[in-house]
Amino acid sequence: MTTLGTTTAATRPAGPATAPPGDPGLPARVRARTRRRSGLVLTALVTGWLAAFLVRVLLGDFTITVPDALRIVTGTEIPGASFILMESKLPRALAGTCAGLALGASGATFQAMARNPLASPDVLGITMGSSAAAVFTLVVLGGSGPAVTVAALAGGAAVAAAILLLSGAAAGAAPYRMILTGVALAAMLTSVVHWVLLTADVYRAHEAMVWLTGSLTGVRWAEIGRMALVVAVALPLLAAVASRLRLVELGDDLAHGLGVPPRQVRAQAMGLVVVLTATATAVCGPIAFVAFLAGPIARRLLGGHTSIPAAAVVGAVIVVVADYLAAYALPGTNLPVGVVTGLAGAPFLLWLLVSTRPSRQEAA
Amino acid sequence: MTTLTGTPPRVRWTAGLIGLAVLAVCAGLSVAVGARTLPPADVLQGLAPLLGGDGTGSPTESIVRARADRTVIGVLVGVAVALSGAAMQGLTRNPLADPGLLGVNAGAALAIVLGIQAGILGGASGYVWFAMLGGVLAAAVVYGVASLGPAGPQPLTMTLTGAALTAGVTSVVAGVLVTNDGALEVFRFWQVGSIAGRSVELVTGVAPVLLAGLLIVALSGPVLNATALGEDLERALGQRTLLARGVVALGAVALAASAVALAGPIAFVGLVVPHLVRLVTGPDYRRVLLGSALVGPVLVLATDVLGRVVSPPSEVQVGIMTAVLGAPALILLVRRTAMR
Repeated sequence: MTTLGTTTAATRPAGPATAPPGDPGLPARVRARTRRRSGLVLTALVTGWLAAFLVRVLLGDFTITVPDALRIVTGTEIPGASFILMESKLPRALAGTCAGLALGASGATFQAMARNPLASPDVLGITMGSSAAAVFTLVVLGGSGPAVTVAALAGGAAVAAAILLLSGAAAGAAPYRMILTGVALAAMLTSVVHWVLLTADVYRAHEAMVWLTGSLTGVRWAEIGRMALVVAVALPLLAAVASRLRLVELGDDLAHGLGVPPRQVRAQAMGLVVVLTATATAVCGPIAFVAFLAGPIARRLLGGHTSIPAAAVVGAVIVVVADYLAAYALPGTNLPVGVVTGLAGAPFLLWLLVSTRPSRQEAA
Repeated sequence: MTTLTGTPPRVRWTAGLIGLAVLAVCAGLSVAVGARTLPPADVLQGLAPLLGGDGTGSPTESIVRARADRTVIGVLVGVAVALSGAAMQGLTRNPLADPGLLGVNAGAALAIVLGIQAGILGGASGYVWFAMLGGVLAAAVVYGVASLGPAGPQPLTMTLTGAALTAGVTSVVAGVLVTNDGALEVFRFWQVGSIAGRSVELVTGVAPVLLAGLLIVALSGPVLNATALGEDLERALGQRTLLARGVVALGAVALAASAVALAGPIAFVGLVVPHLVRLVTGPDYRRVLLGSALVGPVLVLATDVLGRVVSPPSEVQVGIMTAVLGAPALILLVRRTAMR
């Protein structure tokens, strides 16, 4: 770590005046410390996710022992336990993980892009675009499965494109306009969803309502496979784009000067965000606040430094834990996971608003 | 105060008279147009008992009666929402303030759903107090949270807090609705915002709150004008209007909450109307309020009539029509506004 830091510092033209000669260099030490902290935090987060995942799969109102779980997964049939593990616990935990990864990463990217810790695909209407299209397909066209996924993808993409075009963000950074345009579109789409709910019969309306709340119940293995595939492809791509996005965050002119085309980077990031958000939304419904919360939590853990992988894992932890609470917190009711994340999000928002430095809000 | 004059008086008077005429036309259309086409003579005949004449008890009469009730509620809701929007924009010095964006509607929705769930909602007049309570609490939370930040209540912070509060509250509402189909059946009709099928008796339950709100906000022009000067200038001129502003805020929330109680959430009217009015009256809030009280009902009645004719024989609720027509208006507004 130290040697790596030293070489990086040596290749730099000039260190700051504060670094005395012979010292490895303050920037190098800071960088090494940041990197060490990132590594530690990421390890801790993954461990936390693993713990949550195991609790979700093994505990609850039906306990499965570790040897039993291993035997079931490798193909042995245990009456009762097999069904619960393979049809309820495991798919829910896996779907929650995939959706959390996707939402956490896309939320953090969005916040970086809008240069505002409060922006997220929920607030900006991208999730709502997916929801409106999916609910329309579910209720009016009577579609299901892949058709809903495709509709959600198209809806999210349409809203994202509309935000970019209408706010003029494609031409230059205009976070303020981007946010307000998104809020307007979200409100409009909400009323479309309300109208669809109203015209449906009550059974369909109930079905759509459960979906709209964000729920992991009844997720099918094929859907999990699709979602896992998308996450596995899009997440590394997004992490790669995000490193260049950090330069765009400094301002369009500066990014140009550093050889990074801001429009292109922003468009790539937006495209990946839409794919991730819409895929997760299509399978699990719009799980409130995960995209909104994951970025800031990761940022705090890392000491004010944006990391897409960390935000993604935070998202996964949130969804898996919230799903456990939703399933078992109130005995006898099986709430959708979105209710728990929505409830948890409100106090966090309060804290975030109170503690956000004014300079950052002004910059927005 | 010459800078506040804006357009010359003659233009304002003409605009005011045109506004009144348009309102009259809209009210006429609202009574005359609907799923069932009635000849004008029948409409007039149907109106007769409402004006103190003798009724014949014909089906036409009950149709006209329902439409007249609907028109009255539309006018009241339009006035309430538009005035509330104008006052909120003035108080927060935020051109994007609107009861819907600031969470009043979401709060009202939550209160009503919890009321339905607990089984303690006594009919339509019970809605009023729940909507009122929920709306006031939500507005207080949004304003409070936004002012807790070190930068104070910024337009962007308030808009985002409102949007986030709405998202959070919506998930709680959804949590109740997915476990209670009876509540869903009632609530999905409430949440779109409609002035159809409400009896005019509903107004009597809302009347005290609505009138108090109307009175306060109608007289709030000078306070809003002082607020528009900005904190520093206001202090320099020796005008501390903190208490007055609190009262006006209460009035604006009272209006918004009564409108929600009467019609459910009606999106965007409160946001767009004051801006339309300002184009004619200039920035003086005394005139903006007067104009909003005229244009608000015009917009509600016009969109409601439009909603009746777009997909006959069923109709699209006014809350949906205003959102679908209002969002483009908001986006245009954001594009025109120079702030970033």
